[in-house]
Amino acid sequence: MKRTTTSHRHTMNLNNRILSSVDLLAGFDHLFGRSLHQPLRPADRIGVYEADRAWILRTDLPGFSREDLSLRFEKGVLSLCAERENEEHAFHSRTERTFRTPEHVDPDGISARLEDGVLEITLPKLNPGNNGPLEIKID
Amino acid sequence: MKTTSDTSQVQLREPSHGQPHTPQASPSCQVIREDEGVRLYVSLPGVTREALSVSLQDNLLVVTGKRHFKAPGDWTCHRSSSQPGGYQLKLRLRPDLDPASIQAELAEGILTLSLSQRESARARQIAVN
Repeated sequence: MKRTTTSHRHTMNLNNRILSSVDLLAGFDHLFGRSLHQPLRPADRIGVYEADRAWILRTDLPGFSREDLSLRFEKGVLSLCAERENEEHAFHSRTERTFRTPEHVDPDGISARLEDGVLEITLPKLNPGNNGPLEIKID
Repeated sequence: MKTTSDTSQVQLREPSHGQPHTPQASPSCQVIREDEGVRLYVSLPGVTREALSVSLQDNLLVVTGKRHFKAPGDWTCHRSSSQPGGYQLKLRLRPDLDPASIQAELAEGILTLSLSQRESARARQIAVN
């Protein structure tokens, strides 16, 4: 069975390129009494959970591998960039999302795990101390 | 060779009647048409291999996937992003595809199904004497 040509893939990439910026998690908005800036599109759906010691965010990123993801935290803003190249299928090849987090998130303790096309980010609740740029390793 | 995501225009089409309502969501899918068959990609984030079922009977392809994630009891859910019932996709294969040729692979939340055309449906060069 022959595979698709490079030109086909390139066309699909352009047609399906998604660039979205979601300012402030809806769940965080609600918790902190702020208004929701804009409704999230289905591709931007974020699950927001709260445990005693951490916030947990979950979002679907089917077709992306760990190497395709970049997660960055700086001055209370979590930035996620997922970009995939040379894929055969036409699902999203690029997505960018930014989230403002509560002030009491410990940036040094943030961790992330990608499994079965779902990214789970854990943001520990601790006293704020470090507001510098921080690259987050994805397990 | 044709690349399309419109399943009604290629070798796959959905059954037109008799489908009971199910709580599962219909997953996104893409069809890549190739010279000697089709490749079907189904987006199933959160579905493990153990929670995935792919069946093919009488040219009806049924893909069912359940999401395995359940929040621990001490987590408060402020916003849920997933389909709690999982996914189900039903597609009727066109008769020129060979059901015996189906191959399936699940990786990174994407199910890839490959199907070849029946030998009798493939284009062939005919020698002229």
